[in-house]
Amino acid sequence: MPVLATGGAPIYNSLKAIRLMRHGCANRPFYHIVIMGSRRSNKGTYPVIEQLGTYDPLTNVHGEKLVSVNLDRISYWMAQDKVKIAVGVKQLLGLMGFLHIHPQSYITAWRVRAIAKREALSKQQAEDQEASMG
Amino acid sequence: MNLVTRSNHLFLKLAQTNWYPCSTSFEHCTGNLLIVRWRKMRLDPPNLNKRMKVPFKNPLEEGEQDEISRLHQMNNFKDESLRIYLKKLYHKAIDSAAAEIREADEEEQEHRENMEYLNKENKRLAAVREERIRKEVDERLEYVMLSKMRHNEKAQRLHEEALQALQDAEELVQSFIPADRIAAALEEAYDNPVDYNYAIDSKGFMYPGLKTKPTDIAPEFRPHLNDPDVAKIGAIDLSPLRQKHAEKAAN
Repeated sequence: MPVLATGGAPIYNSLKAIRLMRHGCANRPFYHIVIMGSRRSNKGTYPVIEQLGTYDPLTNVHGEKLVSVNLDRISYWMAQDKVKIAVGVKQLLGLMGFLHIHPQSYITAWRVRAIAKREALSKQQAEDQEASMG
Repeated sequence: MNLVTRSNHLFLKLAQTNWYPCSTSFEHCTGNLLIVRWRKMRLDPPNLNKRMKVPFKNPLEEGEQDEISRLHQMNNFKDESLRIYLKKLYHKAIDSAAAEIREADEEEQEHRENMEYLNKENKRLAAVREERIRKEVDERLEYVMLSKMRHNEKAQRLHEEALQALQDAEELVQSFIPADRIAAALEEAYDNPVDYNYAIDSKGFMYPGLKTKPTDIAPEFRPHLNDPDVAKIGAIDLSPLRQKHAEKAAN
């Protein structure tokens, strides 16, 4: 049994969530993938139960965004009752091949493509207009 | 105490009676002034300047909403099926772990029984082995004692043989002719020649001498090979001759 990140504090049978928890500092985000109590406590903190991985959203020198995940523990927590997974984590797990691709990934992709297509079209129209004027 | 806000809309906020101070800061407290942050109640209407504002939403393309709904629906199905699958795996793992523990207990019990049987069997075999070893030691001691006896006998025999050989040699030495009497011995030998020749007929009668004829000796005076009273005929020792004759007769 792993030592929990709660430091031995009791885990009640309440709703839990696997989320990205922001660490790092200003202009330098860094996320821990954690499982925590879904609701904020009276002290204004989320009781983290266990860290399941990390995610660095800034690309490194090789142009990579690094993610590390403990898949065994993710599987364990997904098999438990009353555990929900945040969309960001689902997207990450989908892109790494552990889960299916999340709809938000498809939506983002097609919207980005549509914007690019629209910009290219407007650029082409501007060029055509310039040509017709000239 | 006067309550001072950070906002420029001091009068506006004070006019809203439902607003309440949500936090106070004593860090910049000077005199009887206290800095306060304000918050309105949950069901209060928005500000006057934002009341008519319509939030901008990116327009969806045609059929996009349907596609999004379909994707989310499929995603929810997949999520649920995956969750059920992982739960089955988890419970299976727990069951298998419990079964492993049970099997381990059974194996340990069996091992304990086997060890008891083995200990008992080892004790029995140890008793048998001790008995056998004691018997072997006794036999060995007996053998050693006998071999010692045999060795002593052999040593005694060898000693006697050696003494006998010494005695024989001493006797033989007496017959040696020393150098100062060699001439006299030669003279004596020349004066008394010894004839070792003999003949023997088919009946065993002997005729000593090189040129003796059967007619030279009367039949009653002829010595016989097997005559026990006669050991020697002249210089001839009869015992080896008798032995040789007996062997020939046996063959």
